[in-house]
Amino acid sequence: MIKVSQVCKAFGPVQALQNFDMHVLPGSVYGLVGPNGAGKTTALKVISGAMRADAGTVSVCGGEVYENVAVKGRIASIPSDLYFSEIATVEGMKNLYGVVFPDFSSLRFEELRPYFNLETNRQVRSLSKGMQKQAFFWLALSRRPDVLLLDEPVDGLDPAARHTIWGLVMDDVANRGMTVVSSSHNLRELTDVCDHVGIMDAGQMRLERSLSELQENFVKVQVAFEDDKFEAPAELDVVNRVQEGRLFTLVVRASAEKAQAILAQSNPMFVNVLPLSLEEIFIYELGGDRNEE
Amino acid sequence: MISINPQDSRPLYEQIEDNFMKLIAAGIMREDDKLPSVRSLASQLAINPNTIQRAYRELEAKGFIYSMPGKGSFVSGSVDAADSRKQELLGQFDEVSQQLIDLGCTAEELSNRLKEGKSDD
Amino acid sequence: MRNSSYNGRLALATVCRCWPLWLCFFLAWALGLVLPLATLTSSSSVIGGSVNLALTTGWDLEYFASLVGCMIASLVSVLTVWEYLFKAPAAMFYGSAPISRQALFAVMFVAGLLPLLVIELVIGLVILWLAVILPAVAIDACLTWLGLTLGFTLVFYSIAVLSVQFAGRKSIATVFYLGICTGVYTLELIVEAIMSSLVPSVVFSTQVFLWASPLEALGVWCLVDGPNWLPLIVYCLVAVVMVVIALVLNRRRHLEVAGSSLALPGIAGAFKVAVGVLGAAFFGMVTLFLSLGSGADANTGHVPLFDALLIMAMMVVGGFLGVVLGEQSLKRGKHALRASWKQGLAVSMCGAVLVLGCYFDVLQLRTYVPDADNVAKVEVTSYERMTLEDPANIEDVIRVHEMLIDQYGQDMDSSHETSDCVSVLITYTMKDGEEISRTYDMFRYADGVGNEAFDMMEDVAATDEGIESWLGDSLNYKLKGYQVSFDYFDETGEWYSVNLDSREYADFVNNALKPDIYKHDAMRCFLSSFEETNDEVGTLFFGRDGERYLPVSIQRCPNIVEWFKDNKDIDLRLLINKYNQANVKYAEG
Repeated sequence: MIKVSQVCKAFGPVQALQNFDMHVLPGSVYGLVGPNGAGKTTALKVISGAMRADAGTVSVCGGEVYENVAVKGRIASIPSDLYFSEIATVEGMKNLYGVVFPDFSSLRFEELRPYFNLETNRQVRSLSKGMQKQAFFWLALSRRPDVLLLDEPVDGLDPAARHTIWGLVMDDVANRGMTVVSSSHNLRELTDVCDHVGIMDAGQMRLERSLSELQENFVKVQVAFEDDKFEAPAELDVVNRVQEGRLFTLVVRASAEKAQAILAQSNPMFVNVLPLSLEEIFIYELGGDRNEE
Repeated sequence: MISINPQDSRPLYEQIEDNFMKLIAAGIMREDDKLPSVRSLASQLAINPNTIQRAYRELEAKGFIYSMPGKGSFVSGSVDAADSRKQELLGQFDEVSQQLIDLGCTAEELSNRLKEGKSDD
Repeated sequence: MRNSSYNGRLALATVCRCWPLWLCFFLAWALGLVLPLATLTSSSSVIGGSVNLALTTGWDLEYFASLVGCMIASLVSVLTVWEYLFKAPAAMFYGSAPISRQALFAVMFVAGLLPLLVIELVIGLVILWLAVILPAVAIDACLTWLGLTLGFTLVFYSIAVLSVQFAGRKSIATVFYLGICTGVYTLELIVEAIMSSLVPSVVFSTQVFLWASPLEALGVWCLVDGPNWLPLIVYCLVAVVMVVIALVLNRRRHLEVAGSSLALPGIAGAFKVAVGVLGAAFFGMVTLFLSLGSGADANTGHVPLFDALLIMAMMVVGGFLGVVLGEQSLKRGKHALRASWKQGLAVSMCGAVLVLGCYFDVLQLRTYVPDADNVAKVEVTSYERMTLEDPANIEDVIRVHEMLIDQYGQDMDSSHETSDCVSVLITYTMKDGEEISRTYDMFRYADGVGNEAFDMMEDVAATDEGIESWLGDSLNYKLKGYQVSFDYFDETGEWYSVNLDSREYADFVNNALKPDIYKHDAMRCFLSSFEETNDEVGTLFFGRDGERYLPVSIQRCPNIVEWFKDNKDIDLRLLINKYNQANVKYAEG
């Protein structure tokens, strides 16, 4: 659905994206994660067609996105900097959306009204940041887009609003096969909603996997040895290792079974496998890369 | 009907599976009862539909449910389902009891415990 | 299809978004033009009490107001409507919207221009209606106002659209706008003023590119001497070209530059240098004015040495500060000084070299005297203009020129009476068509120093054809003592400015003149009151009974008695007939 290939984008001396690749399958909910300054916002803006890449190709729904009116009509984007004019009300923005986007459906807008606790006659400027975000979600979803691009989407939303919004998004994903790309620092939340993850750093994509594959092949193992000495076997990819007395806590890039099988060879006193949260995977995956550099 | 525990470190699909299996084993959901659609459950829980799909596939593979294209998924009345659940739990039982034995429990202690447990019913 | 080409509904939505702006524009014209017209009576004056709108010739203020108003309104309209060029969120919104660049350009162009034109049309119709129902308002003037205003709006709006393509911040865009509107004109004025103070004798020709400054071209060439449509039409065509260029620049622009200073790469350096040069010029001009006020000769613009050095120093400082300011406005950072000090120094040094070079006349502009063989003709203008083509005369003029240069070099003391000063302009036309101009002030001293040049001048003038026959001696008088002057027509109708010399006006006025004049039976002489200001002691009128009169300015004329005695046969009647002054007073002597 979205295919980004070897994209480079620089702002003056700063190289925001460097040979950046990204692949998103149709109907997938893709989490784009990375440290601050990794280039996530730039990547999303390039995919939405607002920015032009210096090099490389960006294709969405089978067509190059830049200046492609047909393709851009199918993409809805909610950036972290929301656009609204000084005096506009939500109703006014709705009218603007109706004029700018051919697929905007007033009917759908009304259908979604009960989910959002907003008065449409209020000026957007006077709403809190969280309510502004909600309003823009409301507008975006009324377009029934094929692709939804979200930049830090749920920052500033209270848990109830978050649940409502993701619920609506998941509804569209399940019902219409909408593709979603969401950048976020809230990995806990992404774990629930995403089926694929892309980890990027310093303008490059480090790792792109399905979430299940990632979680199943990255484990934390606690092993204890009588003589508090342990040499990890070569075939075991140990990303991190901490020793406390006889207990070794290892973070291993392997499935639980494989890790246990390999460790069994060393005759440990005690073996326990724990799953890793996405946050931990993120930290170890990127930390590991940094250590290797 | 289903709830997710965010503190639970098990994968989401496992939790969902587990939830349904408990409901079926307890008789709350009976043969030919319809399970919620993937779409509505995903929307209600605000989680990825694929996760729901996977849980349903696992349940179907284990024989707890069957699906009819276009209509949805339903609880199966198969005895195999309960059986397979039994096997699974027995497996866990073996693991736990092995650990207890490693720690010094005797088989007799365990056996007494079971008897006492039963008599508490 | 609607979205790949022009989206009219978006244009309308944009117009509505900016409704306060259109309201202000409408009210400005309604209160500033319509209301005064509506309450006009034929003898009242409006807008400061000095303009009478009733006649077509009285509309100058309205036309100028229209020019300025359109200039301001166009800029404000563009800055408000084209917000996606200045605000990052808007840029990203429209960038990801299903609308092509050209379509967006077209939408914003129309949304900003159409309301202005519509409001002007409405106001125009209202004042035309007023013109129909009120006799005090002229229809022609209203139609002219409408045409001018619509034209000005088209031109300035296009300039504004072009200007904003260069910048990502409204302040920088405004700078570009003002720069394009004033074009070369302001720069020429500043440069000319500084250069003529540094190399005073050289005449720097100005207004090389009259039409390169839209504001000047439209303001001066449309409105001076009444509305002239040609420059306006030309500029409307130029406006079309500007819009095309703007579209090209717009397509190349990266949307993410919204909010940063310059939109296009590569113009930062030129921008900084330009601001530096303007800074140097500004500081130089200010210092020049201050030094002129404090002791330099206001007549000649000649400054003492110390002041000239001060001007140079200030220009260096100005250049440096200008570049730093340019950097600061681009980057908005604290490191502007560090980033741009080298460039600032370079601009300052160039300025210093230029000024020093001019001051010490490195190119010898001031002392340049052409070779007599290369000169085709020379035009000398002091009290009158003489065009001399005879090689001998040309050589004489060149000698006078050299004397003037010498006199000039010595003459740095500013303690002369300005009345003893004659300004001489010498323009050489070379054989290859080139023109060289120099201007000098000839000072006349009581002790005779510097009189040589005067003598030379008179010899030159005296020998030139056409003038010799009757001016001869009188020209001698012209340059000595004081003069009386009047206009004279000879037999062929040729008009000469005649300068007469005299010493004791009292005698003349009371005794000599009247009786002599009375000898011409067609003449009477009237004397108006005497005033002793400015050396002019009175105006002598020659004239017929009940007819028009020729004013003669008497400035202490000692020898006029002799002259009149020698030249009694000049027929002053011819003068009277051709003289065409409606408001000469008639007073009893």
